Amino acid sequence: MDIQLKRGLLDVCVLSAIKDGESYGYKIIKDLQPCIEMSESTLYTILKRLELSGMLTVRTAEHCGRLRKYYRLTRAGLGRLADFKQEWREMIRIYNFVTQEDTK
Amino acid sequence: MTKEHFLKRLRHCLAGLPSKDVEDRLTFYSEIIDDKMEDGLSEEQAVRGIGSADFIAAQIIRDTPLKDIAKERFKPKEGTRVWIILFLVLGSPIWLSLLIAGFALFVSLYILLWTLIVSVWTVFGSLAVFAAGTAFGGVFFFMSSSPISALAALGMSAFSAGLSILFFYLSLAFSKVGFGFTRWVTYKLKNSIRKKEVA
Repeated sequence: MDIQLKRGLLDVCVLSAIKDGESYGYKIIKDLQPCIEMSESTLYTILKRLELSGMLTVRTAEHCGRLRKYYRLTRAGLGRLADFKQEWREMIRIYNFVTQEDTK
Repeated sequence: MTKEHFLKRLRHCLAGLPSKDVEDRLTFYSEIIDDKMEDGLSEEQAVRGIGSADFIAAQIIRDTPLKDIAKERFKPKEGTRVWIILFLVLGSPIWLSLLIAGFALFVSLYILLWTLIVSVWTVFGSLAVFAAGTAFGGVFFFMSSSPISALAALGMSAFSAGLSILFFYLSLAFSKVGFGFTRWVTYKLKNSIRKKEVA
């Protein structure tokens, strides 16, 4: 798979994992497992990139006597998810056209 | 391997990377290990599930831009920066005047080089004009029935023409050196400016 395409898909997967409410690193990896296997290193890089681009915010809170970081989707992150869904509707139309040509 | 060993090993492998980035990553992995243990895994299982610290560090280093590593490598310590500034200010009467003198010397030598080039071209031009002039003179003397004067003039013309050819090639060679040196200096200057912009 094209590396830029894969990177974009992973970003959207992570955003989707936190769209229903804030989450934390380990939970994001667990929630994504049915869809995609993601290493901790990859997740860290994606979370950093999304934070820098304003798609999510981070807060630190105490949990069972230790600190834990929670990630929450921003308006920009929601917008990115909406754009992704639109892009894929167009992608499917193109895919159907291409595969239709193959079956002729 | 325990969580402490893993984090210690990872910290060791990430030495040289921007310190803030290293601390953020260690905090992240520490949190993941704690969450895995809270989920029921043993400490060893939690650490093993993350993978080898060396392999993770290699991936992180591969993905870190070279400029970030270089910045961290050549970052002066806080105290050192103050001393460097102090040294530069106090030493400025010495190093600044040496720098100006060096620059003036360079410019003088550069002007001298081009003066030499222009001089050699001037000599060529003079010889060429003299050769042409004496050639006309020879013809004139010949037509005036002064064969000896004509021979002398034509002889001088031929000699000057020969010398002018020599000086032509000399001027060309010197000019190539001059232009080549100018191009080299310009290239070095551009390069040093470009490096600063990139940084």
